[in-house]
Amino acid sequence: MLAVRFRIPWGIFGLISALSCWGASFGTVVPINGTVSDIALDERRNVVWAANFSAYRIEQVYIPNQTLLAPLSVPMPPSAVALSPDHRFLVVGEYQKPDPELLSTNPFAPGTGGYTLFDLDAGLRYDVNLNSPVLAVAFGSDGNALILTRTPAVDPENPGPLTNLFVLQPFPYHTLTPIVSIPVQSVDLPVPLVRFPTQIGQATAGVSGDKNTIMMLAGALVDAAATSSTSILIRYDVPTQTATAEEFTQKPPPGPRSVSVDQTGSNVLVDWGLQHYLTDGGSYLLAEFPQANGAFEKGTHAWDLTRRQIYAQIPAPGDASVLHVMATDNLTVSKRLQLPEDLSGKSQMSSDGQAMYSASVSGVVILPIGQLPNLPQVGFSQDDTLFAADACNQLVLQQTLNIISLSSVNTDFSLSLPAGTTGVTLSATSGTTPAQVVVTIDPSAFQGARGTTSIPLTLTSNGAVNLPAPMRLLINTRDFNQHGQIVNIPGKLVDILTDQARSRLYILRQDQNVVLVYDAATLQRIAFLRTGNTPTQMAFSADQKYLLIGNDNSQIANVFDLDILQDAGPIVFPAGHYPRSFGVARSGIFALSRIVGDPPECAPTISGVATLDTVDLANRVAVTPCTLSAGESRSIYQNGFSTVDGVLTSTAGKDYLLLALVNGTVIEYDDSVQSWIASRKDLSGLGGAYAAFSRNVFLAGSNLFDAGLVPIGQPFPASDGASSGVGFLGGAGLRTTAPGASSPGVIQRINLSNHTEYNATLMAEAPMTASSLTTPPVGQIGESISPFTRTLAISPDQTKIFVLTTSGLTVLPSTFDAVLAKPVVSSVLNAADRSTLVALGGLVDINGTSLATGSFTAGAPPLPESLGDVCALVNNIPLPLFSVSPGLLKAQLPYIAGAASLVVHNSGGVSAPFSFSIQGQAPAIYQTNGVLQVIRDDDNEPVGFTNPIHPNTALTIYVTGLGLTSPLPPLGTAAPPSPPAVVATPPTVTLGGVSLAVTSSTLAPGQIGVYTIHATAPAKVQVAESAPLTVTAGGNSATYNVRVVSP
Amino acid sequence: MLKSLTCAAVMFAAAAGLANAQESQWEVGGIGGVGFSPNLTVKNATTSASASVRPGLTVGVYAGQNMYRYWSGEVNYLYRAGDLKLSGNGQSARFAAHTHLITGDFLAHFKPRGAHIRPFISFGGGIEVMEGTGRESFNQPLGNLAALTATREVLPVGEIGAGVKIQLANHLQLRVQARDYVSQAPHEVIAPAPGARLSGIRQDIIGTAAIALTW
Repeated sequence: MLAVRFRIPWGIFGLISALSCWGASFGTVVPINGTVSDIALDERRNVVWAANFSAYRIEQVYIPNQTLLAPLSVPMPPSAVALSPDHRFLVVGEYQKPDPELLSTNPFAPGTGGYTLFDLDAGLRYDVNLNSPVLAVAFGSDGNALILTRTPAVDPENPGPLTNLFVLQPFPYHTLTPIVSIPVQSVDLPVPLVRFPTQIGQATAGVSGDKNTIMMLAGALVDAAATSSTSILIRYDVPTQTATAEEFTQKPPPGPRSVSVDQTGSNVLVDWGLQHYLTDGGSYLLAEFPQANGAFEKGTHAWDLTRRQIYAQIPAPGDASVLHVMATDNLTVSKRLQLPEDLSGKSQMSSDGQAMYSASVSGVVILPIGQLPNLPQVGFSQDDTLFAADACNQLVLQQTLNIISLSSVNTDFSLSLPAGTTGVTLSATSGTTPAQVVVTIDPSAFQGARGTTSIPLTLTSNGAVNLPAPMRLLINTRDFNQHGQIVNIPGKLVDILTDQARSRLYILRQDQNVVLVYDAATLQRIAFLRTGNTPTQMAFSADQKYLLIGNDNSQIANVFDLDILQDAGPIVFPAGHYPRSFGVARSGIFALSRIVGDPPECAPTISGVATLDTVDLANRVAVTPCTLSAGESRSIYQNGFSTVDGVLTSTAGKDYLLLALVNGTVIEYDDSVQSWIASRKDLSGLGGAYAAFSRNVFLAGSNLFDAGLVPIGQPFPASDGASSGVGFLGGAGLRTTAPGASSPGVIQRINLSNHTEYNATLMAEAPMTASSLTTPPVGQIGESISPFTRTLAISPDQTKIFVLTTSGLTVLPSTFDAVLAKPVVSSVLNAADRSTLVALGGLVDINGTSLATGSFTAGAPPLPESLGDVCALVNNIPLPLFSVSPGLLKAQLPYIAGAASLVVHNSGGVSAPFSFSIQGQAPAIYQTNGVLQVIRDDDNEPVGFTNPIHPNTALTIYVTGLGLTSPLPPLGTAAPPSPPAVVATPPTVTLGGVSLAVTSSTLAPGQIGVYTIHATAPAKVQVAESAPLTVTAGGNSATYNVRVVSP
Repeated sequence: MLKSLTCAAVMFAAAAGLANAQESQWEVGGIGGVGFSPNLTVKNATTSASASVRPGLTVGVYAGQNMYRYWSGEVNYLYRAGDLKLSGNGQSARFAAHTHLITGDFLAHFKPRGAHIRPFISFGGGIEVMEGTGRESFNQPLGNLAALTATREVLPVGEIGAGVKIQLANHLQLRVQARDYVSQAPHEVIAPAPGARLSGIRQDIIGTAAIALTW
């Protein structure tokens, strides 16, 4: 019945909302004169009750037309409002009683407050005074309201219980039952200007879907500035009528003042933290918003029990008024919606999940969640677009992007590139979805990079309500002596591991909070493993059965059973500890954790922002000993670090661990004594790659350390570039560096005996570094980039090297540094008769050695300017290539005449310049397998000894080297059939010294650089077994002998 | 070519002159028969093939005069159909061709003029015009040895033969004969490839029967 009654208004409401959203924002603002402190949704009456704190009234926001009906007045500023489940009773919590005296020196009595109970069905009201301001009100499944007041001040003259949590039973008898006293504080009235209810009462309530759990968030201190990090969280169990309270400290402060609860109360989103409650009453932080600013006055959230999503506005740097659609397990952002204004305080979902109602800075905002599929939304069909060019290729590259509607409604869009971007052209910069936009890349604009240039392509829309993420345009212009195959994997990839036993590759994608699992042999993705929020590092358990993942915004480390690729239950860390890095030894697991709040009590007192926690994997818990390790050989070193930026790693045998900190400190663990045994700080700073090669050689950044953690020799040269990754292969170390984000990467081996690096080899693109991983703020999507990076992994079969690079992944052979011979050019001959006379636009054979590593043939025109990792340049102009092989490149010369210098690039390097001369015209008749391509038109066969020329024989002669034509086709493209490309300076043809009638000379339609001459033999010919047939053009001629008979 | 024509003309004139010197009995007839040519050989440094004119129908006409008791002279024209053929190394090539034979011949009879049956032997000379008429091809098999060419070639030809004349009626005579026309190898129609050599004497052995009117 209820649903029927709501059907028509919802349809109207949806239409109105859709229209109102046509301003690139989602939701409708219902302005209210005053300041809203709390709301209650009344679905029976189609209204939202909004407590207007400063206007002493409860506003009725009529939902169907978003108008205000007659308000309910209350005697004190209404701080909270709640509606009974049967929609009959409305309870209004009231803050402090005003003194009506004009010149009162105590305009609001601190020890006052109260509530008004409205019986909406009966039209009755009951005003009740209390001895303290009411902060929060909520109804439970039993139909009673839980009322939280500020803890009353002690009255020496009238001492009594300081109870401040009550249960109000509205029916059949209006009774108020005290429950418990909880130390809760708030700010007295009056307050300075520009203060909002969430900064005054600082309390709010949330109710689980089954209404059996009521959560209340309140201030623990008198916090006039509303910036305190300490708050009280009250959990009230409705069936048992018991309450527990916990004081907690958060950095940043616990704002926004909003509480959202799931169906059963096992997961509660409090301010910016998602708390998971265990059956034993314990809890831990499942995830938190990565970039909350902790402000009390802005932001809100609501739990969509229907769709199992969370809608939240948590202000973050760089965000305007944005509603994030997030996952309920790890707060991964799946969508961002533009709000019309900031929300503030309480939000409530409708029972059918069709709408969300929020208190906002100017009143109430109605968000038609159920209408989202019908509201304009726009996006790219993919995250990245990779353009694979190379050092030579100047042919433009094109790819088509799909701009799609993320709903049933098409909408406008605009595309933009960063100011000053060159070399990128869009076929359209605006349009309507669905649309295809062709992106054209001029590789010459990126030739200086030699690596991959990443350019964000921004998508905006006037009509869409969502805020689409930009696409990365990745333009690679590698040279051929740069190794590796690029595999595009979008996202912020922060760690990589290979699983020897299962032949898998694990890549940690931080922006999506997942581990990407690939088959290491085929690179087929086989699984996603959802992590906590902002995962930072992976590690295998000592038995290789589990994968551990640390999260910078979760109090847990994920544990996955690798045999079944299933979640095996998290490791719960101490409150305020965020595990970021793991060191797995044979006998124990350690985690470097970022800590918020106070470190554990120890003697002497420890301090810092990070600790080394000891993990009990079996019981899935971690503890923080006062020393780096406990046990019989307790470490002599105190726990606690002044920096959170550090990393742990272990030797292959898991007998030694290295802990490196960004401040230059290195610490060593010896599993044989199960203790941290050495700590030094000989360097002012560390960062980049890290490894424990053996008990004698450790690496952090560009530094090697010996068994005592003393730096070995000089650091690797800074000219290598920023340190990125290391590995161990074939008895030697591997090291990758990045001279620049868009430059080639460098991989080289490390001799672990003499500690030198060798065989430096260029990679196709740069490996990721801490610098390149750091992007501009991305709001609550979040990122936490360690200065230490692990970007290199060896394939299980030891044949490949996986490197996290700009475009995702680069796969190198383990023989990446095999010596390849440099290309050598020995001659440039025309492709027709292999003579040295060559002409502009003509086809040539480039002969030499080591010109290519294999044989490759181009496909249909236009010809590529690189083929099989080979390219050739004449006077720096790349040549279109027909085919390449170790001894021969077949190519077309550019349209230039005169002195020319040819160089060939391939994976072996660049050849020495080869000088030759290009003629304006230099005719040469094609010979195919020794057969002269002079074709008798009457039999369409080549002229030859058995097919001689007769009197009046019409001939078609295929030649190269006739030079410019009109029109002149672009290099590497087929000649047009119509109009034909006519030779600018026609050739002459003679047979036995007698001129032939030349009827035409053109480029052969559909072919590249091949000309045809149509000529007819004279009526009288000199019979000869071998008569000279001569083609002359541009002062150059070519003569071939043919047989002539008569008749 | 010019040399061959001159030689043939001299032989024909000689034959005609002899005929005119005698009181004569004239013969004019039509000839039909079959020609057969032995193979020639074409070879280069590494391989060889046979070149031949395929057996073919031969037709022609002749006119003669019995100038003496035992001697007569006549002029013959024969059209000899016969494709060219190259074969060797498992390959072969055929090429349409024919030959015109124009000769002047002397006949020495073993029976005097007026005998009912007159065996004879003949000899003479003239020209042979060999003409290739097939479709040339760049890919002609055995092209490395010789090219069968669509061209015309004139060669001097000598002839010897034997036969018998049978007087069937007062003015009707049957002749049966076999003649061997001998010429040099045709180097234009069957052009040896560079480096190859066409060797041998071309022979055309033609067996015919003829019906002639005599008076």
